[in-house]
Amino acid sequence: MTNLKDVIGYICANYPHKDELSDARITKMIYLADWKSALDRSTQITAINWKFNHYGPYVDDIKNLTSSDSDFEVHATSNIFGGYKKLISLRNNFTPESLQAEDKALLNHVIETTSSLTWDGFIKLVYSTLPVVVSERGSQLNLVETAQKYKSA
Amino acid sequence: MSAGTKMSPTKRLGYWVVDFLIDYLSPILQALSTVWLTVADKPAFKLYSQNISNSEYFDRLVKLLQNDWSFWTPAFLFILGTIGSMHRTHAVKKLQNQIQEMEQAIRSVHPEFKQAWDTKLETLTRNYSLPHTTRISVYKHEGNQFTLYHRYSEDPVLKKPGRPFYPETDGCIGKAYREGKCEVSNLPCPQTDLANYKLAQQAQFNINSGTVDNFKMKSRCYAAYPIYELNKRDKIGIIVFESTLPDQFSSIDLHTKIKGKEGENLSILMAAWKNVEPSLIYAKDMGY
Repeated sequence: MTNLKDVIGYICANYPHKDELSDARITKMIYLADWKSALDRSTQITAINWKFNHYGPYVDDIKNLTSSDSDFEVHATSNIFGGYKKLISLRNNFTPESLQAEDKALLNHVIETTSSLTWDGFIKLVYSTLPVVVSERGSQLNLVETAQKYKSA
Repeated sequence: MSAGTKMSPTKRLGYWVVDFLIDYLSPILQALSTVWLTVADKPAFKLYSQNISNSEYFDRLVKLLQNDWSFWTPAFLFILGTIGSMHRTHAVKKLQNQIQEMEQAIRSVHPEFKQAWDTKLETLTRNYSLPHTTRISVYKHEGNQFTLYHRYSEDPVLKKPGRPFYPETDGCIGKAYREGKCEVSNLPCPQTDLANYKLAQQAQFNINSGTVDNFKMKSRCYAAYPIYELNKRDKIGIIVFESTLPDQFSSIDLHTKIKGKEGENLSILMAAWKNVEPSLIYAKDMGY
């Protein structure tokens, strides 16, 4: 398992559109990385216990870490519909030491496949992944188990 | 500018001019260039290069053009075409605005996809007084297979999703897709006669014994019908009613209902969600 701070830092450093990196987007990008990792390697990239809350896969881990760690900067702004949004950026560059080459390749895949998507397309992608499709709101998402079922289907 | 915001008349006129130019500048320029090309070769317009006064120029121009049908006919057609084009641009813009509004409305309720379909299928369950042993599933046709679009049952165990993909050739879904409907009312009881239940699944739906073993719901009656695109030609999905008890649907005439207004409502709901609905194939194509 990698260090969550390294994963967030890697995304912040390499995602091309910094003004899109809200806590919500980063959270769902890490969900996609965990799901991709479960599919490809039968293990998550992070140790997050994902939950399907009202607005999709969600945990407070990312929000809590970025607001308490001095290497990240949280900037409050609003989205185009006037809703509140928190942009996350790197205050200090650091080396993501826990990330192996395979982890970086996975995160690069997430960055490459999502950076060209609008918010709608991005959300559609998250909602189209099997764990979200087959789960009830409020339930825990067991990504590794679902990936095994998916591969054997 | 949002509705209800106050604006000075000059500013309003400015916005109107800019909007007008954005929408209509292109057809106007096209029209002007057409006229220019049409009249450029006319003797009447060559007068202007001569050394005459403006008033004399217009007098002679009017005289030369007043009986010139080779000028007035295309000019009339051009004016007609321009008005038509502008009218069409206006109509298209109006439709685009409507689509944008609808998309925004859909976007605002996007997380409620499951809720919307739960409500729809729950309503069917209640309206048709279907027993709690019933499950309704909607499958979407994607590529050469079906994916589970949504599922509803009053029984939370029966509601649980099963496989992500279903072949378009086999099962009750495949039969309904190919033949337009699939109705089976009384399969053997799987609790007391599993062997014959499996034989019946194989004979009716080409489902092998191993797949039957993995069924979370071993249904004894099925009623499945296609859901059509709004053009009523293409099949975009299948709705399957099934129950663990035999002969639950024959008195309801589900076929007539789904062929009629109810089926149309399902088509409209699927169309409304088309742009934002979850799609396993979409995720799969993206590597997830």
